Amino acid sequence: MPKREDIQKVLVIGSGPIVIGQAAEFDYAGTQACKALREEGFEVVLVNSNPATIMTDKHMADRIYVEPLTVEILSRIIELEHPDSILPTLGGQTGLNLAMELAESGVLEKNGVRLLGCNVDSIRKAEDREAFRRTMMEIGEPIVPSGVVENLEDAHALAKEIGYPVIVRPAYTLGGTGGGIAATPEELDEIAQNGLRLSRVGQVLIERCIAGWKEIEFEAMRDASGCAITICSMENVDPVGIHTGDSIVVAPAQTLGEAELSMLHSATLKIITALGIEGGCNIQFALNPDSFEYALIEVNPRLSRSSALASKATGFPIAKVATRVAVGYRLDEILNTVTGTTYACNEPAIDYVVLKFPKWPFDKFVHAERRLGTQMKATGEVMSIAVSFEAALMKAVRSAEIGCNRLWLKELDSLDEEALFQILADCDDRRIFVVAELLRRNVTVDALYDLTRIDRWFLRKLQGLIELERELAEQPLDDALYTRAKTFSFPDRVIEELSGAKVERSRRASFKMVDTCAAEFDAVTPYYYSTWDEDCEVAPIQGEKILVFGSGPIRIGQGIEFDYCSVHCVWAAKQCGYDTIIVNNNPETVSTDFDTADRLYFEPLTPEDVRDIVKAEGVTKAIVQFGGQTAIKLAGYLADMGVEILGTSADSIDAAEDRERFDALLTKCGIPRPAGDTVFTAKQAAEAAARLGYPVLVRPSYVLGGQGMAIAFNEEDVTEYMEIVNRNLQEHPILIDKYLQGKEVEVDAICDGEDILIPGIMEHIERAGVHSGDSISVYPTRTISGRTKLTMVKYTAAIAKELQVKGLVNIQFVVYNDEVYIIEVNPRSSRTVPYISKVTGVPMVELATRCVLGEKLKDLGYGTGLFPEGQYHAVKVPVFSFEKLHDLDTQLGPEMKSTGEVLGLASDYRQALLKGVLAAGYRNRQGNCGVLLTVRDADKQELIPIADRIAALGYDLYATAGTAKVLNSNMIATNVVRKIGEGTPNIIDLLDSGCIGYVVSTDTKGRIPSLDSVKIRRKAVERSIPCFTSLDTAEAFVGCLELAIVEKDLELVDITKL
Amino acid sequence: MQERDSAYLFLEDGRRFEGVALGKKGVAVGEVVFHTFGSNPHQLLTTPAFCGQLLAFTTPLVGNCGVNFSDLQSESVQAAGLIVRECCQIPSNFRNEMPLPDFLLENHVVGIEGVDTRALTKHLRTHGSLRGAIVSSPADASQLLNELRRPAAPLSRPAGATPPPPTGNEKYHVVVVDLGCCKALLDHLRQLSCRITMVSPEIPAQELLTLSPDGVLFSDGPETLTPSPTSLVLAKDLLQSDLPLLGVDAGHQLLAVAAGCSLIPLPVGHRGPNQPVTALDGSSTFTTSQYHGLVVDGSTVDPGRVRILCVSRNDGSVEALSYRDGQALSIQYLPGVVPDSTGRLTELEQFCSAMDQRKEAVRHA
Repeated sequence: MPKREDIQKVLVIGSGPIVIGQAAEFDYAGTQACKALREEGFEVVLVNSNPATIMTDKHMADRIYVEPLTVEILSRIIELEHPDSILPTLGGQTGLNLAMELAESGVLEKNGVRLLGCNVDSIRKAEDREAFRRTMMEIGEPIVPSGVVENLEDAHALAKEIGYPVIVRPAYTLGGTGGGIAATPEELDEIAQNGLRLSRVGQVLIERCIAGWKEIEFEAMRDASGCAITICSMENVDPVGIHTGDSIVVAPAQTLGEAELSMLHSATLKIITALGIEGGCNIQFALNPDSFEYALIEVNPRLSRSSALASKATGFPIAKVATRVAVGYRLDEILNTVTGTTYACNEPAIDYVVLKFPKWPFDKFVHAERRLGTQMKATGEVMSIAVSFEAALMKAVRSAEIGCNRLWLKELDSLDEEALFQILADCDDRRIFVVAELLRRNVTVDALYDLTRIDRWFLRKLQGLIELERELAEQPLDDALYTRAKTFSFPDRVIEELSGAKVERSRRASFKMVDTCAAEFDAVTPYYYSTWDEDCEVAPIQGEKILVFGSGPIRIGQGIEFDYCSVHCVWAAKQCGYDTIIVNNNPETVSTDFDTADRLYFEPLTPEDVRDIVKAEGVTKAIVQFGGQTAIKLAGYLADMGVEILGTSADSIDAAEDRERFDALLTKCGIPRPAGDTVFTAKQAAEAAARLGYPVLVRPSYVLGGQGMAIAFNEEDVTEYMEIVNRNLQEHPILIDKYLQGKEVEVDAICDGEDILIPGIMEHIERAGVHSGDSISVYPTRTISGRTKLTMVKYTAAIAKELQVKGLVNIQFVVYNDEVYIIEVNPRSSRTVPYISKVTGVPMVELATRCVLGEKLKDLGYGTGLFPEGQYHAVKVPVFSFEKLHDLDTQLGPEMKSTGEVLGLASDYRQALLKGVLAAGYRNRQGNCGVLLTVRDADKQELIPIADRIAALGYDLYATAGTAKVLNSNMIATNVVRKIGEGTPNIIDLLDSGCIGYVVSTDTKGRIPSLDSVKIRRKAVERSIPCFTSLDTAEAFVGCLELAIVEKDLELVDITKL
Repeated sequence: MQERDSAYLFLEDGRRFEGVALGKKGVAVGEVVFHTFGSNPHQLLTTPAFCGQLLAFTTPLVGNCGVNFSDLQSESVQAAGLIVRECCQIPSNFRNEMPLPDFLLENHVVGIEGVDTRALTKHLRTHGSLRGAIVSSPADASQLLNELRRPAAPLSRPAGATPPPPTGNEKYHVVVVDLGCCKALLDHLRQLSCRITMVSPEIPAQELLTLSPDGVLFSDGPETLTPSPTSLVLAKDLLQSDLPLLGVDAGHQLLAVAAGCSLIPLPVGHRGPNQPVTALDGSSTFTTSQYHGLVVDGSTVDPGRVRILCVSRNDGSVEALSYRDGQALSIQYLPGVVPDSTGRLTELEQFCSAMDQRKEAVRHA
């Protein structure tokens, strides 16, 4: 069955901004899908609100709309573009839900659009809890005793019938948002209420808690002819109860016998057949560890995070194959490009062990609740490949960039056994390290099994690692011991640290290929992982080659934008005639697709791992500036190894990061910066702050995304922040700067060592103090004078020249009292590069890469200096995942908190802002509700005109006593609300009553969860009430409300035509 | 950790792999074959089709779940030796009855652990079928190589699995011509309500017919380029009868040769549960489990007598044949019991329906 003839134009829906539970994997999936569709000759219309994606690149689709992902907007795009089909299965839960809504509302039928890859019925069967239960019962597949309820009363009745503890899951949400385990009716009250509200259809599933069973996943694929295969099995190291996104996962499953595996294999094929899916599907099972009893947990009739993992784990390009299946091909017609002789109907065989390790944000969010459960909390993940479980785990741990090179977490050393057991009981993210620590203290495998239900096989593997650590510490480091440590993938650094001996002759890794078939067929995949075998399958590339780095796991502050930059760097270098080698460890990304670079090494981004690649390939040149801080950190080591860093040198990078050198540089260029000092202790910090005058900015040097950065308004704040910062040993001094509350402006420039090109200057809506990643960013600037811009261009040129920048540089300015200060220089790619590239049409990474490779800007056709401003206004709005991270204060500050971003684009600024705000998920609740205002004293005067405008829009105003007093005395009628602790009804009851539509809360005292202001903001998150923590954001939003434009009047922009 | 004794794997072309001893210490000689799936070697080690072979696993971690005796495919270990990268010492699974290393010792299986089985697989893939020797006790390497290079002595045919006892309520009586039948196949027959009588391939057709079977199944087992003359006579005679026939694996090869086809070695053997097979009528491709190194030469199939039904999607080799208008079938792979995702009837189901039809015809006659 070849390609369907009735398809000409396909609409692809992306997954929108990166949030916890829906990350870069859908950029990878969408990019593969768009490529596959275009290769088939179809016209592709793409909609995605996330500008940091590769899929929204001009050459990925024929029409690209970076628009809010709402039914209204999609309906209009359908009416405008007349696609005949929609591919809904590659845009995550967002894409699938939208497709469902479009189908249910009749838009598809009216416009003659059909769904590819699945139909409404199959989606409903998989996604609607009740329909799913019915379908599974029909085909005899077991499910967990459960029921769906639509109100709290029924929830209690059902829970009583099933028996506590019960798991609560809202229907149609991603990453398990709003779910939880309830052990008592009281807990059920809270969790079910929350879940009912968050579910798109107001339903929650109550089910028997089978915590402790094994959690096994299968990735499967089926075509229209009925041919179905599994791609691979995956086993969660953590049992059921911890979200699979927060679990360590191995592939293939390790502790299941052939009997259990083939049972679940058959069940998988039966289910995908019963659902009639034409494409990929992910099925999660719970398996009783003591019998053949199993139960289905979930079926995703679409590509998922696990599909991306399975795809990278096997080399089987799931998204590409799923797309081709959706347009009519049979699996036995789709050639496996890895072998060139076999077809996609061949189930992949794996001759290695793959391990996925989550990346959590708790290093940044020290106050957030770090307990793991049914709601996913990880922002990203790493994957490792090895020939043993031990080596895979060691590689993954150091790939995660959590300051660990082995299973040892320093902070656990000081805890007693009781405290460690408590952490295990709480299931927090440090679990694996706690298990290791307890094994180190001779707690038995059986005791740990009883507590954790982590299979004894895994525990024994951990025990083996601890045993080896002990041998290294106690025995002389001879060849045999060293070799064993290497086969377990212990880095030399760790071996030396443990043994106290110097590694005399460092052994180098050899490399093997990921080939989908366990070497059964000759394969040509340029996709490698390291082992310690004699047999090495890598022959160095012969031509001129360049090593490029990915940016590791997605984390707050280093997201998908950097993958965009790495991938574009690879493409540009290829265009310039170089062979490219990429190293990365993130399975969700486009950079780790084996056909992105000429060669892919799936390895940790550490000096030793990279060294082995450099040696195996005979690399002499590398580019580090596109892989975020992860790659930058490697620059020094590479230079020491004799690898030439192309572009900005390691020394220049250091000059921008080292406080003293940076100060000297600015002085030399005559550029002012806010006054500051460097300190080590809390006492020194307080003294420096007093000298500079409050408020001050406190931050460690060499950090990412403003980690550990805070604004202190008084000595108490300084003490609190210094305590947090000093929890980790600081190698570098802590910086205290005068905090200038001015306008923040950001510039990304390309430099060739002589000239610069600034594609665009961006202005932040929030005043300095809110991290640039969390600010609403506007291009072109609106309030910056021509003269100020010229100053910035001049400063940028001076710094670029002084630092000898070749490539990209990102500079942040603050404009205070008409004076331009520099606050930060990053001689590397930045978060804003993808979006500015898209809205200005300047291919920034390509130009930067060409400069890095020696070309000159004046020859590249985009001119030099400041690039002319475009006609369109682009507003980048940050998106947060606050509802997933309990106890995290939502107050924005110098430490970045957003996980993703969206873009609003229009020829009118206010429309662009409105679109950005809509895309970020702020619902426009026209009137009929109240707005709660509670602001710090410093903001009270400024609040008055804003409150006036809100009242004029017809909203009722509520405020705490102090704020209300100021407003009422200014003739703005405001209801006074009791604070927490002043009796009921108080402010929390008001939020619970459902009559508040928006909250403005700017009280910034501390981040401790027990504070009232934090409680109010958390309550707003729980109730899904938009909460503005800066008056600037609030004012901008009021401007949107005043605009009185409805979605159907919004201008739609095809960015390929910009 | 205690040091373990070294062991070596020698191939007839001189390639040598190093590892440590696993199971019984000694020397094991045989054809080296690799299997691309699975992590529980006890099943394959006891499958008669692997008789006399040195079985290598591409999966790096094996034996994690230990041995469960009900999984064994015949009464004894049939393979000559085991080659793995890492063998689990302390298994973890609720069905575990014995760790794999103990099972190997108890069954006198010579094994080797710590081998780069991917490098071995690549070597076998490029150099074709090779004989080899696992050596875990002192031995003279050059003597060993000379021995490996001499043609292998023919192996005696292993006995197949023991059929389950009849219940008395079975619908069909199937005579299984035992070429080294695995237990799974007998279990499948049992699930489809078959009473099973095992016979040797050396018996005359007349004698077999006195058992009055409803159908005859030629089982799987070790392959041979030259089936014994008496077994060929049996297959030819039965092909001329009106009895429903099903040949599986070695049984398929025997029926094909009896019908005038020749066997040839595959460049790379099919060994694994992920072998895709395509029906030539264009209806479907399905995944099958196979273990063979020989194959029916498609160019020797006489279209007047035999029809090719299915071929391997990977290399186009013959996978399924039909004789007497489909009343007799033979397949290179192991048949399933229930229809797969494509809804295709399995060959066992087709065999049963052929038995039904014949019974019906006999009754009407």
